[in-house]
Amino acid sequence: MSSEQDDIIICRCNEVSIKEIREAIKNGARTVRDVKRRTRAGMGLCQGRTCGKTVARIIANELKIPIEEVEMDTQRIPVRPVKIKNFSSKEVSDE
Amino acid sequence: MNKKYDVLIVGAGIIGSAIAYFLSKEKIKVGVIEKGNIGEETSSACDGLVFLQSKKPGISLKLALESIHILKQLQDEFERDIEYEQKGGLVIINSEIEKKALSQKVKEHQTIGLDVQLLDTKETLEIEPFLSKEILGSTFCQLDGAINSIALTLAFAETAIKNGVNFYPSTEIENFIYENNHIIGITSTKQEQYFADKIVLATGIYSNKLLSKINIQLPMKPRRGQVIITEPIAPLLNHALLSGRYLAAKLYPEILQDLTDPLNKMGIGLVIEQTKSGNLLMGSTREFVGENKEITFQGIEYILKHTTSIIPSLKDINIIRTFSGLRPYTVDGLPIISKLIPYDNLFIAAGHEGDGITLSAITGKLIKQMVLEEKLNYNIEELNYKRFL
Repeated sequence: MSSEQDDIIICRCNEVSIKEIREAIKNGARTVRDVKRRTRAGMGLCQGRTCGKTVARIIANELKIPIEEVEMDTQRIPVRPVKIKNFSSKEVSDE
Repeated sequence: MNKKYDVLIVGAGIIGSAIAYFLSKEKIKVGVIEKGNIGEETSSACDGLVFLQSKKPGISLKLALESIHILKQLQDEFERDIEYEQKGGLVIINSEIEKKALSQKVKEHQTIGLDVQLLDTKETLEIEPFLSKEILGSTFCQLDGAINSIALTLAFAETAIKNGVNFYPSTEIENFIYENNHIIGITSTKQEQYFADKIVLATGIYSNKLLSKINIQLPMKPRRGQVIITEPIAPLLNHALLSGRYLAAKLYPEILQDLTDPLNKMGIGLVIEQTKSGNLLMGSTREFVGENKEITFQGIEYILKHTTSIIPSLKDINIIRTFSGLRPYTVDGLPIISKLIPYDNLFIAAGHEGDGITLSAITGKLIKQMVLEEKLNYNIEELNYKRFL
């Protein structure tokens, strides 16, 4: 964990470095969502689909717990970016 | 270790964190227990509007005015950027009945000295060019704005911890500890004991579950709000927006009574803001579905349809995230900030529904004053839970 690694970008969408993520964990983040709220890692275009696992691995390393014990973010719609017109161009159905 | 506090706060959402912050500046020992982690439920699943126009003249508006005054000072004090911008707010008028209701509201606000103006379509489009030409106008208040609710919650909590408050995450109350009919502490589900002279419940939608242990129930229930986030885009909106529908309905409830209108069934009152990072935040439904936090396709569809009717050019923008949070709704629309008599060392601050972010600062300050038995700057009898008895 040398300091030359500090600038490595973990969340590419929002350019969050490993240093910022470690700092968040030091300040109390315990889950992938905790890290997201504190650093915006996983809040970008890919919604953590790229970096979520890596963030979980960093949490596991820092807290010295098995990665299975790290709570991942919840998955919700949309699974990938969707244009607004796909929802709003047709009449809204009732049920 | 003996966990003995002057004040123990239960809950580290926006309200509990604000209270912790104000108490952290006093020479007392403060602890916070939180069943999860800082701001992980309602406070990170809401919009960031800090609005005055939406408040009724009276205690809500008075408290909101003081709260935004404090938030402005905190913007400079906090290390974390809370992204508070008083960029002005517009309430969009979509129908004649909304126009009638909101004109009346503007007059009420002007009478008490709040600077709100009624703008026609042309005047509205001049300051917010991407709105639909179909809208009938808007009401404008320069003091309205928006904040990053997650950053604000974290900033309150982090600053409190830095000032010496002890924070216990993943700690849930199992029961209260009594001595001679007096509550002297709590036991956690991990069987740890926390003793305190005074206990403050900032437990939002979970308050009733906790209060059932002492046979108190409040007319408060969770109300689901679904919210949508778009990809970051170039600056599009100059102001924070609210659709007039919901506000107008407070004066003319019949607007919302037509349940064949799907928007009414979902209780949608639209909020649109562009955050500092460029994403648009669009919400929200207002549904009574218990503690169900699921996102529904129908909810998303309705919000987006309503949004594009106000800002047609959004059609080609991508949505990237949805979330939903449970707001602590009270039957009279006012929060509960009071002692929980007969326990004279037990306090509650909950039930802010959609005003929790705006009123966070003043709520923290008021509870601090109550706990320290200082003189309150406001008469907040209206917020006492005894009003429901």
